Amino acid sequence: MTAVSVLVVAVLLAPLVFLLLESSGVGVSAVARLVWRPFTATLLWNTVRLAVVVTALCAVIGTLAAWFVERTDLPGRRLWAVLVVVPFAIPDFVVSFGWASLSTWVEGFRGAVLVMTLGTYPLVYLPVAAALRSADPAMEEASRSLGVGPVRTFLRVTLGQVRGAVLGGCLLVVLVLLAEYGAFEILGYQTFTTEIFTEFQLSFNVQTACALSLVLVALSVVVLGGDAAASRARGRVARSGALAQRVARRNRLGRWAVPVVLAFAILAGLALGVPVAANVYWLFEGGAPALSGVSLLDAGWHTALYGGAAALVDTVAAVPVALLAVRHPSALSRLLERSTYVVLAMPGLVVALALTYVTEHYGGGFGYQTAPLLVLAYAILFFPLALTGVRASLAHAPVRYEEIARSLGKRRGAVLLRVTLPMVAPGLAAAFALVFLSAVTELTATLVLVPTGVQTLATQFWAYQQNLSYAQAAPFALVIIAVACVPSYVIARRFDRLPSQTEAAP
Amino acid sequence: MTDGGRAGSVSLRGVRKAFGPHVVLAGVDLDVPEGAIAAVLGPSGSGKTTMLRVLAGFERPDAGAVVIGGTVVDDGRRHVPVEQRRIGYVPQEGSLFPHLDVRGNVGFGLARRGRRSRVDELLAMVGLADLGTRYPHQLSGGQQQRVALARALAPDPRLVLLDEPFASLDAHLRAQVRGDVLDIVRRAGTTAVLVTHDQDEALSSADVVAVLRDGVVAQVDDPYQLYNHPVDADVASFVGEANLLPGAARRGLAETALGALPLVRPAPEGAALTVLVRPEQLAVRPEDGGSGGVPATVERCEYHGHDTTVRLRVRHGQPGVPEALVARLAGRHPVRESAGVRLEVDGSVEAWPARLAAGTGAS
Repeated sequence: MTAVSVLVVAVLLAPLVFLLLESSGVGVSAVARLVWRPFTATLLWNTVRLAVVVTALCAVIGTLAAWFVERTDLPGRRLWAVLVVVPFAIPDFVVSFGWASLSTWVEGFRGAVLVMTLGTYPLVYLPVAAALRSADPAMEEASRSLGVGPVRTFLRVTLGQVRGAVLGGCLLVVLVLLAEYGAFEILGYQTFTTEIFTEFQLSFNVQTACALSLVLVALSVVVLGGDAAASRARGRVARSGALAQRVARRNRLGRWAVPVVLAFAILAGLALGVPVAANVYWLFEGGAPALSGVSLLDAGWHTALYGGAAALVDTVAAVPVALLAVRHPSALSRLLERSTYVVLAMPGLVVALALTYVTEHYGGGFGYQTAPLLVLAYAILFFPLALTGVRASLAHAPVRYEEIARSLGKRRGAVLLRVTLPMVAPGLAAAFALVFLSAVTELTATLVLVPTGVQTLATQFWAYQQNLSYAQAAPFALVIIAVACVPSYVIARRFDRLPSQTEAAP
Repeated sequence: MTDGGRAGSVSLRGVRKAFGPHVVLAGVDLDVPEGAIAAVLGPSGSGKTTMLRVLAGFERPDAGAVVIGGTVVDDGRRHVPVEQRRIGYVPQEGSLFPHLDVRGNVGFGLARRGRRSRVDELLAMVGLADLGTRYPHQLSGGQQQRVALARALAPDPRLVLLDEPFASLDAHLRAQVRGDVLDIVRRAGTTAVLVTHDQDEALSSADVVAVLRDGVVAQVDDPYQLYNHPVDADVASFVGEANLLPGAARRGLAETALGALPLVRPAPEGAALTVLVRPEQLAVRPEDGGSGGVPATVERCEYHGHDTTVRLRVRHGQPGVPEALVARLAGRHPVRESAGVRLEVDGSVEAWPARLAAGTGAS
């Protein structure tokens, strides 16, 4: 099991190693020359200012939305709890297509800010809502009893309780911004990722692409480090004593109910309504459904095939790593588990580049743009998702159940089939679904690695969109939205049930 | 051995087990006769759960032999795997399979043929005939424990292992469930080994009690022998409250601060002794109720309803006399705190050669 886990982790980290190899082959000075161009400063400025503005907006929107849903008698809060999470599932390139196809105002910096804020604020909303649920309401009550009003209590106490969650969410937003390609390409906004793509795909300049990728990975590693620090802070701040957990009293909105509901409606409309409506509009505007009907089926089939294969590989590969971490905790198993999360710092484009480099240098181009390589790229990119799901499900199936089954005369094989698998099956299914749906909505790595002569939903959409064939692109976008919304709805509902139902104050 | 016998004797011979540098079992010897209920009593960390896991086959001993029903199931060379040992295992929290209902749990270890009737039989035996379609989370703690027992008994094991099965139950439920469960085990006629740290539980429910201490069996006896004739002062304190007095052997008696007491076993003349006086052996009389006895003061009374535990301090303490003594008075015995009383010892006493710097005092 240890050997298998080491192998899995080695494969996961291989792209990073090859990236370093390629760059070192170029030489430090050459890399430095490529990186220290004035253009790099422009890219850095573009990336940083976007990150700052979008993250700030996400922090405000996500935190306020979470507070209203969790701590007030907001009318229809169950519905809003779902509607504010769903936009996260829709790929940002689909959102930006929806907006950009309607108005030329949505482009460049302001377009990027608009689209990325609408697409990523749920990354702040989700952890903050969770923190608000587990935070002890007694602190807010103490504040109110000391004569502090509701608004100042929110600012001085509640925000303090959730600041770790806000920070953690913000850092995830930055990671997404660093990795995004499609949305910025549509909006005509240059960042590191778009530039790497251009260098690689248009100029075939692998070395420059790799050197720039190093900068990107370095930025992501810094962000990940910040996230680790933030989660430690979360542990300190949100400790609430499981004993005295009580249901929070909901603040009454009173005459504020109407404007707040209106704000939620506007948010849902902008994040969800506009992209969907735009695509529906183009669908009926253009026609030619017969033409796209065939290619839609074909692209859908290949998308499902690659996504399913990657999900299967990841779910199977995550089992030994998770087993080792849960059942045999040691310094080695912790190190193996942690190192898989380094993958989070590797944008899809970088993984695709590294795999391309491997096939070129060591395989003479063999394997490049074939299905197995694309599946491998997906498997590497989304492994952390699978590991999280599998690990949680194994934690729900302690070893004592297997011992009892064996004491009742069952052999190991029968125990696995009749006890262990039924108990971990829901978690495995969730892990499979998460990887599958992430692969279905992946664009960047897919564009680089998609097998010759094959289109997936994302690449076919991309091709039509680049030809300005909006009518043909729309059905693909709608299918992607439909596929992506299902799991986020399920996740949001499951989230809504945990850990306790809060009731409106009398 | 698959002779279909209903019960099997158990014996452990020199069983050793260490986890890394930490020796948990340092040569355990134990025999449990066929059909008996044996309790393994020990403080936490004494290795009792490890011993049970070795018996079950979840752990392999580093040395020694394990014999169940006359068959060697582990002796270092051969190792009969868990599933072939015909044992039933009831863990601490019951640990019912959460994805199966009560019938599914009870029938888990049974072949398809005859499963239905055997499950019916067992559910009737544990008194849960109408809960067959419930899931574990819909049962109370006591019900879960009874289903866990039915599950363990279903394949007709030679030996049932119970790992502190009542520890997680509420105090008022515990005695009830314990009585029910052990009745069922007795009716099934199976040999059983019960691990516990609760000496009341061990004394009241087992035919044989083994005290495990520092990885070895300190004493195996029936409950009466164990309580009244423990092998040393530590066992005496562990299986119940004990007043341990220093004394000396004189003409077949033990001379102590509470007078010259008759010895259960003769001791060499003049030997220094540690003498055991159980709280029930201390008779407490009012001070003005005649002469005789040792004067003492009541420090504290703990009223339990059925009896009263009285903490006493001997007046005019001679050197070496324990500061505080414990007595247990049955029935409605009004004793006031800080009252003066006289103490006498009923019956003969157990005593051991005093160890150097042996701890004295009530514990």
